[in-house]
Amino acid sequence: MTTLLTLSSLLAEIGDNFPQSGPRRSWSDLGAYGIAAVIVAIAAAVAAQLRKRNDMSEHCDKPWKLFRELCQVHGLDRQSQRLLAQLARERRLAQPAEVFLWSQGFAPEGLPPALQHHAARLERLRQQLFE
Amino acid sequence: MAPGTHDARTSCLNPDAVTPLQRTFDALAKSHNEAATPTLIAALQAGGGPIFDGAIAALCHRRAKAGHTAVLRQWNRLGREQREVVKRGRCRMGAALREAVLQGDDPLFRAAMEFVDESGDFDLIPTLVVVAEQANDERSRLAVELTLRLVDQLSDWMASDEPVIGRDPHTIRYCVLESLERSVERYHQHERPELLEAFIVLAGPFSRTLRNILSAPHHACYQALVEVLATSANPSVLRLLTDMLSASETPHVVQHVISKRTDRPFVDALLSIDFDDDNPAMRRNLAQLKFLACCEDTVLVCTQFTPRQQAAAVKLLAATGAGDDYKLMLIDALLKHGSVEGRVAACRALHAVPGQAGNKLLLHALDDPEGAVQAAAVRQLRERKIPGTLSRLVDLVSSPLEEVAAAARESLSVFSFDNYAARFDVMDEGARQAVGVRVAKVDRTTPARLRQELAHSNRRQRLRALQMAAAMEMLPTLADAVVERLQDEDQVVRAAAADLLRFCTASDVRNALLTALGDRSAAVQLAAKNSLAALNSPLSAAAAKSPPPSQPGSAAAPPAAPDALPIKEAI
Repeated sequence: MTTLLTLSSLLAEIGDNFPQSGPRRSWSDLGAYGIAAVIVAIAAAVAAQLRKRNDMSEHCDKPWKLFRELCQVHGLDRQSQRLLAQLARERRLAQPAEVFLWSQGFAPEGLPPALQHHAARLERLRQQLFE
Repeated sequence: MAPGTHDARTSCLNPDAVTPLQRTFDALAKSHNEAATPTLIAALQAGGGPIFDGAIAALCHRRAKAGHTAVLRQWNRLGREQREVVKRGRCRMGAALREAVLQGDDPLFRAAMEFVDESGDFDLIPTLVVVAEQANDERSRLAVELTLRLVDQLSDWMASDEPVIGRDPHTIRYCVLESLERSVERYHQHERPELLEAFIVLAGPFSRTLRNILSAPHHACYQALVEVLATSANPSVLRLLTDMLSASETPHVVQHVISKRTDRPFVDALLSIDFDDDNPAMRRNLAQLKFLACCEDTVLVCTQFTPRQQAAAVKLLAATGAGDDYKLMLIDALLKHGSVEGRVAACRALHAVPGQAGNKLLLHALDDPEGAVQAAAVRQLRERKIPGTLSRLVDLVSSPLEEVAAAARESLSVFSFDNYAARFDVMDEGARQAVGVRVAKVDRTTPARLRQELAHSNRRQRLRALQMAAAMEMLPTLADAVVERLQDEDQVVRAAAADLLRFCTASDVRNALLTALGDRSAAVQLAAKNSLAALNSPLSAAAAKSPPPSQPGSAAAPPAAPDALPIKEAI
């Protein structure tokens, strides 16, 4: 081992005497490249994850993904999606997608207190989804 | 339109054409996310309305056993249209159905059975067979009944001439039969004769397994199988028995069963088969039957059987190897008390029973009031060589019943003009006369043929035709053709014609003879003169009406004029 270390230091010094050689580089000089590579990898992973999340042709058993799939089918905006998700949670539905099949859940009289002030918006959503 | 069934292209090309709810169900039906199934199952709690209908259709469209099981649990609550939607999805419901039948609770089991019964799901038969083989309980009883119904449906489907759309029934049969064959092998465990019946129905007459069992009396289910063949009124079993009758190498036990069965469904099936004389296998099988129990009760045959069945019964019996006495018993009864169709067939069946007793019945049939029966009897007269047959047949040629006369002519076909003309020259006068009169009576083409011969280009043929006409006593009928011969280029023909015209009484004959007196040939003049003299004498006029025989024993040959030129010599 010692022999190897000695040999490597000797080899590192080989280029020192060339006329065009610059200052010797250390491992710390590669740090920036490493960070860039890690960022790219993370970005790729996030992109893959996002793609997978929105790939509705993939076989899976994910209730909230089904919820999103139905939101896409009906072309709901973010705000409507959030409101529907909140309704599903407040109603304690076993499957959040059930909200697309339960028009009575949108009725203003039975709405949970947290959704009372969204009654009008929910009524519009009910009409959009059921009529 | 149900979400599971609507055309996907419609929603893609024109999204406004479908309602939002339909779009939801469409997405749930096609989603690759398994969470769609519990979502739809939860929607079934609606109990009715568009949400319920859509959930049912979407669940049937998905390939999820839990969803199909949930649908089956709702089966009793479904209306006709909803059931139709479920039936359309049955091709994806096999796993759920199997589980429901094998392990489901009672309501689920009954729902699955009802569904299979209504939809005719033949793929489930192997599962039903497994349930049917289980210990005697309500479930196995229901499974047995359903198996038999499905097998009958499949058998009818195969027998029908409907064009095959979708799955081939013969492929389904192959799979079902495999499971039934395994069940037959396990017969000593379950002892369910109904499963044997189902096997027989599908196996058909050429099944190797069936034939092997029927040829091995020591086989575990031989007795049970024979019992099914001997007692089952299932139309498919009856069809198998009758089919085996026309198949080669029919097991003896099947022949025995056919001989012994007398129940009405079997008799109806047996007597409806098209007995084909040209089928050697059927002939052989029938010949091996020593009796037919269904034909033993002659009173029953004459009173309860339809005319067609009476005919079929006697025809079949005649083809069997039963004794002549046995056959004559039914023939006699039918000839006396049967329908017209039965009597005709009985008469024809006598063909298979030679001997005096048969002859007696045949002569009895000649007095039948129906022409068809008489005709059937007449056709057998000659071959049975009953004394006095020939003269009776000749008399029957003049029968007022056209079919009897035709049958008599058919039997006397040897008395044809062609035969007569071919042998005319080698016959003596007496034979020419005797045979000629019969030929004239039997062969309806005789006048036309004689006219052809009289107009023949050959002088010898024309003279011969005049001779034949005289021998056949056809001169009055052919007077005009004979008169024409007075203008013949040959004096011998003219003289012969003039000579023979003495037997014709038509008014124009006398005028023609008067004209012939001026013929350039003295022989013709002499013959005409003699004929005129014969026609003028009252005795000859009477003779012309009924020409006297030229020889003792001959019927009515024209007497040769003493001065006339003998035709034979002229020839």
